[in-house]
Amino acid sequence: MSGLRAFPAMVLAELTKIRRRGFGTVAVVVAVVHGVLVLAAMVGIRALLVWQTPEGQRDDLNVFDGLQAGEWTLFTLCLPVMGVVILAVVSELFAGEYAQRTYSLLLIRPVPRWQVFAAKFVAAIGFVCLVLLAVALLSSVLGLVGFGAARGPAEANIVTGVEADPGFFSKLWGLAVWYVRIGLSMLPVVALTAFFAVVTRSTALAVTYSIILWLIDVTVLIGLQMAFWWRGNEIFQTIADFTMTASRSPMFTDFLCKTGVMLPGLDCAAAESATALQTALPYLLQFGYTALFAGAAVAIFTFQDVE
Amino acid sequence: MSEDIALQTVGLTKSYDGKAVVDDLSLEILPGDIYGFLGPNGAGKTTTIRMILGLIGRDAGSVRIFGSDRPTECRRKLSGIVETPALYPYLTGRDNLRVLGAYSGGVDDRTIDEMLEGVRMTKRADELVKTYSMGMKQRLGIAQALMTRPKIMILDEPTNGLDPAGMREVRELVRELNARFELTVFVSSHLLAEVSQLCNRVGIIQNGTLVAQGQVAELLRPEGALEVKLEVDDVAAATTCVESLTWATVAGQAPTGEMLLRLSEDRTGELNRSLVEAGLEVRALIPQRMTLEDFFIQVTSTGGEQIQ
Repeated sequence: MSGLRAFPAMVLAELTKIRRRGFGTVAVVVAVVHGVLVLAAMVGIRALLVWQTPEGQRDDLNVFDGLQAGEWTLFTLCLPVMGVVILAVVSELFAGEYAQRTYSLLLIRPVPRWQVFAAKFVAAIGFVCLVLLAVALLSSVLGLVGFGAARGPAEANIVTGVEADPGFFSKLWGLAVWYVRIGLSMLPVVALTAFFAVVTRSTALAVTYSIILWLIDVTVLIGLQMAFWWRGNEIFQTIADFTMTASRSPMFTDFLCKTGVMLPGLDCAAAESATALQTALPYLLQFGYTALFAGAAVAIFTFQDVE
Repeated sequence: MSEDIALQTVGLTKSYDGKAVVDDLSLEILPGDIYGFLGPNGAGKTTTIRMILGLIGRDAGSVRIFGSDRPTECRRKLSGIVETPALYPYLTGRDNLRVLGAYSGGVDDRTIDEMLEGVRMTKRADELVKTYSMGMKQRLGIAQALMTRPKIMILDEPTNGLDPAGMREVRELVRELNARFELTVFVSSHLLAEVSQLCNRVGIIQNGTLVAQGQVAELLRPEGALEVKLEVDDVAAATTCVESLTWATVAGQAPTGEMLLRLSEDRTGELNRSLVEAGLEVRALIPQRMTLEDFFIQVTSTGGEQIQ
């Protein structure tokens, strides 16, 4: 157990490697560019939606306030930026050392191999959280600058339909919750990429297989939804319900409900009134996926031969 | 199981695709040794080193460090570099040591400075490793191996890719570390001249099997007949003198012009005395001892009849 005392220093060492490879700078630059573009698009949408009447201009159809704009920016950043950043960082962190033959430097140290893997894994998650935090702060600031905080549109309760402005701090809290949810939803992606990196020992292959698996996942989901839509079969509906409410991230379900993309099988009212277990199920599944892939990866890593 | 043996492998075996790359290899490295691990390319040297360092699994056999075969304990006493020193090129030399120090239970900056000084890298320590020459990488590789204050250091082909000056520098460094830190050094190489200048003991491996092991001086000590080159002022008188000796014969003339004599045993001192007593001026008397290269060729061609 004495090796555990070195663990925090090992994680920091891995973060140093990530930072010195310039991944932090890349993530921030992409986030800034993307954030500015998304906010610019929102400004454009708002301009288009301003209602023109014979009495003059009405702005009560203003669809964004600053924090909501920030939230949208945060969300739209998730896949393009976080996906790319996670795939690049995690695959390089795990597979890059095979190519550079630097694993031998780490594995001759007096620490068990699983700790080497764990240090990298924790560092990858830590890096993702740091980038998310930066993106959340950046998108909020940009949103507040672009849209202001004074007036926000009323939000309708998705079940009751009652409209109310939740207020600035409530929205700020909501943004923080989104941040945590997104962070959690990234765990399986980190584990999956680490798994493929350890198995293939190649950065390119790890990225490719991770993308392919993700595409298969999305295709299955869309296929289920389409099958239900066309055939109205109860079995398809049951599978689709489960898939949508259980295996999708809460972030994605929320997004669909909030944006009114009412796919068959997406029962927002039921989701709202779901039991604690149902609410927890997506998180449990995410932790389950993470444990499965990370566990398999660490088992392979512990026993594989390293050149 | 003896703690008097610094590094011991017993029946070490590794196969790939059914072919034994290392076969029942048993080595013994004594404390304070600079042990040369010799073998032709592809003999199994690097595979052996990787098994000793725990980088690859072994099909059979064991590795003991000062009597212990527990992996974590072994890795505390053992360190090394395998083949070309792979370091993080995007970090400075100092940061490479810091990162690797974190994996060694934490190494303070003073120790890092000491290690950098020990391998004469202080001046370039804050530059990126990708700007280093091969010799500098080798020295930094040695520094990272020394950080944990190991008792045994394994160096796999430490002079590969170095120019003659770099090779000499690494040799001197290894000697210095051996003396200063009482470090047992295990050096793998296929450069025989390098090993003969550096090592006190050697093991020779061929096709994954140990074919010879022992003290260099012992291995090269002539057994039986010895040839000597002789340069004198009067060849005819010298021939007469030699023919009067029962244990010496004239074997011919060396390509460089000297007389070539064959002695039934190592009696060069007696030969010199006889020639001087016969009134000859002995200008040179050079025993033609076996070099490590001769020995290596001999044992690798005979398939290892001289294991000691």
